[in-house]
Amino acid sequence: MKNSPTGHSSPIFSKRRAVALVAGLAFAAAVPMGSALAQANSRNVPAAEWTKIQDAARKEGKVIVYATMAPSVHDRIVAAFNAANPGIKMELVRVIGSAQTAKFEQERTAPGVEGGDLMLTADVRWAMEGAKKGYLKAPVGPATAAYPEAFIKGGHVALVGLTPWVLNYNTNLVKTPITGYQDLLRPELQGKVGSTALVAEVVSLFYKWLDDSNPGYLEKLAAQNVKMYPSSVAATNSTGSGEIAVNAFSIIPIDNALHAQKAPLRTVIPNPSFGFAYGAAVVSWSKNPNAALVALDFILSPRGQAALVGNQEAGSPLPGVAGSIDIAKINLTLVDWDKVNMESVKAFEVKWNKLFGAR
Amino acid sequence: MQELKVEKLVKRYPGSDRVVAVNQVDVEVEAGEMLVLLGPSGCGKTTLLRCVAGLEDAQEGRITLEGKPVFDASIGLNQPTHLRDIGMVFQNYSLWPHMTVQRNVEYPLRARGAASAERTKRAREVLDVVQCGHLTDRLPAMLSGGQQQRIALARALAPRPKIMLLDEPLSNLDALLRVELRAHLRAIHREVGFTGIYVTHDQIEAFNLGTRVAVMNAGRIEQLDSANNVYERPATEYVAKFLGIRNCLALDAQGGWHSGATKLEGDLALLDGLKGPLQMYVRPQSVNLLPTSGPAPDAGQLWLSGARVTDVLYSGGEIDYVVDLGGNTLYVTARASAMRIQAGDAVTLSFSNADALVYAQGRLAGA
Amino acid sequence: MTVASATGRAWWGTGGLVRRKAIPQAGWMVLATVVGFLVLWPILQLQWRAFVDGGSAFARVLALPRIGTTLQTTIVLAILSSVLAVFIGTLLAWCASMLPERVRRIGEVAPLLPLVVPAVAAVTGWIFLLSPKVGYLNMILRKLPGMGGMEEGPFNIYSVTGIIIITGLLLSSFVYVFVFTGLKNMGQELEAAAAACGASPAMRFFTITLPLLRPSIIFATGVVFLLGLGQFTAPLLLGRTAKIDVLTTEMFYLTERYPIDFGLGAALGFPILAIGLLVVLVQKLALGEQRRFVVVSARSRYNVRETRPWAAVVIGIYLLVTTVLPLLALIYVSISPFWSGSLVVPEFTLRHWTSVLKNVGLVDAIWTSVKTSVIGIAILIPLGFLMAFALLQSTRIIRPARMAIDLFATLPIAVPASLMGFGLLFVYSQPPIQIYGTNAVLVVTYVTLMIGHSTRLQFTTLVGTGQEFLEASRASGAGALRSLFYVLLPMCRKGIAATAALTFVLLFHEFSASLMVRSARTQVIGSVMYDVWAGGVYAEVAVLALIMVVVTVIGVLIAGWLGGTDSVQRKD
Repeated sequence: MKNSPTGHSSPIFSKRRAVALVAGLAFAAAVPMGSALAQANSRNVPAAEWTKIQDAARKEGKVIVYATMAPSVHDRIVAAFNAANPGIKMELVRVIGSAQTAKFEQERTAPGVEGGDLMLTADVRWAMEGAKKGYLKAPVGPATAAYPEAFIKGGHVALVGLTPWVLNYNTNLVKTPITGYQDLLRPELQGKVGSTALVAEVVSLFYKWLDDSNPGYLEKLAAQNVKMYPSSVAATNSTGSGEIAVNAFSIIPIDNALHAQKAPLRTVIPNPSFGFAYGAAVVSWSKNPNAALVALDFILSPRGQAALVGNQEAGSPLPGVAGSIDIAKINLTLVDWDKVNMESVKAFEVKWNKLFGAR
Repeated sequence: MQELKVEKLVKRYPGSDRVVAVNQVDVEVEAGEMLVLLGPSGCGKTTLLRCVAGLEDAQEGRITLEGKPVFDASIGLNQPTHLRDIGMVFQNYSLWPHMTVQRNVEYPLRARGAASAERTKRAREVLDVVQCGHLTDRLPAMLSGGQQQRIALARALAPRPKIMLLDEPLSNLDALLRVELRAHLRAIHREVGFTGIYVTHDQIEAFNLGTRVAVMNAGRIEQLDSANNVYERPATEYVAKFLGIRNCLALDAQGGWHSGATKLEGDLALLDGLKGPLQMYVRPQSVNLLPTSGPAPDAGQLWLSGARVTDVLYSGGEIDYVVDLGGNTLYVTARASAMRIQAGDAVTLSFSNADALVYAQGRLAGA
Repeated sequence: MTVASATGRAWWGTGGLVRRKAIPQAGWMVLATVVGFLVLWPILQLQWRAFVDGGSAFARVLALPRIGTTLQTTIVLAILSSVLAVFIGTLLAWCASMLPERVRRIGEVAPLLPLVVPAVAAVTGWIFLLSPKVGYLNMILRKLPGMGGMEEGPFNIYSVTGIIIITGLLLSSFVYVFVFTGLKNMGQELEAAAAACGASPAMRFFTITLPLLRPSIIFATGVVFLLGLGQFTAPLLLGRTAKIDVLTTEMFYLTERYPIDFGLGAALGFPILAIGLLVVLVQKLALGEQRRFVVVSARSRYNVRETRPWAAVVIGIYLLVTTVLPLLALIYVSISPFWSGSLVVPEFTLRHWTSVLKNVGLVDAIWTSVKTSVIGIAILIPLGFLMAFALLQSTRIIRPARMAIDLFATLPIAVPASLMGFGLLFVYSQPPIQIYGTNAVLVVTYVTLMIGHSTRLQFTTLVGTGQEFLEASRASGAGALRSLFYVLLPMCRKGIAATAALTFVLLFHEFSASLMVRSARTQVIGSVMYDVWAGGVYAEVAVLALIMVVVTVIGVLIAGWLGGTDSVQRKD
């Protein structure tokens, strides 16, 4: 079963495996969480209670979100929320990578700061650990109750936006189409390959998956003299401008921004592909807790999910969301946060630093 | 041989086409001569000097040093300062603060490529001339004003330049030092025999040091003559006023020469053939005060009666009398003597006609 | 000790004596304490962390990957960029002194224009110009005959050489200010005397001008070396893709991880701090021997000087390289659909401008910048004025207080902004004064960073104003306060306005410290620009950079208007 970064790459891809994937995640989620059932019930709040929360939310008037997704996704989410919730204004600040974790931690210990209420983070492991330490509020609401149990980790962190990592390349510079990671090793691409530096734990997990699923590949890639960028948006923009020819690490919404500008860019979804889901959670020290809960509930609702996935940019665990990617078709393996081990990640990062040299 | 020849030099102030700093000046300086440019501030004397030095650029004219042109506006020739082989002494000494006296004085020799031993020897030599040989290792900050000026002079003399240019070198010194250095400078000029142009507004310096004196006014030379002649016979009213000849009588010829209501009496030969109105200038030192009731003046004298003393000022060995003559204020300077004249006394003023300077239309009348 | 006065009163006299003597002294002590706390608290607290646990932080430093290279890069960058800056700055000052009459006024101010373009903007502009493959300048150069079909280059800005050159250019304006002031004070007469002695222009330059400029050049070198040592902007923006790091960027990356290892950051900053203190000390000693260079001459009456037309050309080229080209690149990119990497002129669009101006977070950051800069100045000017006043010879102040104030005004030079920012983040995100995440921490940061500059600049103004005017006022019967408001302040108006203008520019452009102390929602334009840059939307970076330039120009013009004309170009 392919459900962790340490699994092997298998030549047989089928729908069955994808279903097994989802089931496996659900199982993995259910096992350590003894109180999962109890929590599932508590998310189903009575209507009166929910109305009180909504009223309190409107009194608070705003919710501040720190999010790490692509700018276009953020715009969609904010627009959709504000339209559906007059009286509550969503302010979204893009804080990417581990910087978001750092900011939340600092705000946790600093009183009087009006910081983030709701997180959309890629550092799900940290969020899950935070849940154990009481950093998070449990999500509630009708949409939350309808959200697949397996995708609410520890009862506090909702997984949204199942996102595959993709490749992109500049069609003016690369004439023979790229189809997968192996093509990045072409000799003529020496010095023309870009990627993202270890700015977040998920990025490390991506490289680790590359390494685990294809031993020796990373060393060969390093020999290509890869240019490391501080974000995938930067790397993709550089591909669009021709500064590099191929970008090894991007996501579809970022690429779409350049497609809209008619940049000579082509996106490649590798098969098999690896990906992750963002974690959405409300912090316990939030200054606008009710608004935050309303916002999180909205994100888990079909409208929120539709805003998130856009036009085939990501997948949704909810069935029937318009525009959701069919993750089965692309053989997507998601990061299993329960299986992620801090020590092995750190050890891998040391190896990565030796190979690619930048942070 | 002329060391320096300046022909039709014109320099206008930047940004102004009407105000001319140096206005069509022609002047020559002979070898061994010290030409003094004398005049008040703004008369153009320093500008002229700096044009000769090359520190300022004239717009028209020609400057020739020892027969070789260094500036010629008509052909666009303008030799830079450092190639003109001059020696310049500045009002502010301009000794370089980061160099010792020795190195300051050696500097022009270095610039001309002299060898080290030669430089040291010559610098010592010229420092001895100015009597500063004991100061070779001092820094300028540790010297007095008088010492600095002498060293500035030594520095200018060291390379034996074609011409020395001195820009009010004594103006920053106090009165006693000025007197002392003036004498010293005169002695050095005699001893070394350099050719020089000396700029000053102080007439005592001018007459003390100058072979010839050029009195300048608004960019032009009003009078260029030997020091003695300029002193004795100032060519124009401007020069006379500048020299401080304070007494001025406006004369007109109506029924005999009169100054206002007072008749001018005595030997009027020097006024023969002249038509009024005239200005007659007399130095206060040349006027005698006679009591009205006293004996008549001697021959060759002119006199005016009916004056009244309004004030008597004592200044050590001299007495200054302020006298009123028909509304005109005149000054008489006399030795303190037996004359017991007091304020309020009626007096007669008399002076020799040799001491009278008569100007018609601003210029000196007569030989 | 009881000394009875002639009237039999006790030694403490009447209340009047206490009011006149003790209270001002108490006031000075309070001032010294407040400023001392501001300046010392972050640094001492931070460095303490480096030594805690028997210096384990230093062990962690040594364990960092490639720390040796990082250290080496830091030092090499500092030395070479300061050498370059001193060379260029001195050359500019010399040229400015030889400008022909017609261009003199503009030409003397021109080398200060690069200061109007913030470092972040300039570096970004240069990225657009000299990115190896798609930089516009590179693309144009590749098309020149004789360039033989290169695919990249000829220049690569993402290199240590590139960082050194950019840093050197950025710092040269500071050198220019110091050296040009020195030249002006020197006056023309000493060089005229040398010319009269037969020295050629070259000989005059090397034997007279340069030696007399030594104090200015030494001071400038010290300042610029420390700035180069703490240099943050260029290595951060240019070093990441080329795997080039310096100590300050390593410190910054620490703030992006949780938990922030302050001890490690302190240990990283320690060599910079140590070198900084050493340089400041050496400077004080080297310049103590000032008497050698007391210029023994009264001021020249004459303004006419030797001019050379090529001097204007040199300054023009400098402006082109440091200001005009990067600005053009920024404008071009800000109105292009995206950084296209081709020389084909695209369909220009204002999309990025509207996108930035509609972005609440970005607009907030701009306003926060303006607000905090203005509040910062409102505190810095009076505070600096008081400190400068305390340093005057004529002010009656007890020696320890004066020495302390002198120390606190000098110390901040030794600490680069990035290190100070790191320390400020440390102390103000924990008790007792926890103001992290508010605008207050930004204001405190700015005041801490600039108090030294504000004091020194106003000290120069006060000294230049002439004590005799204040004395005349006091002799006329006016008390201290009246003299201050009616005589001293109006006379210092121009100098104070110039200080305010310069401080505004520096604060508004502040990048290094702001990036350290900012939080997700209290951003200033510099820090938010970094986020946008790291996020890769280069066109928006260009828009923000241009907004920074425009606001800076407006700020300087306002300061100039408040101070009367000529406040930017200080006349002596």
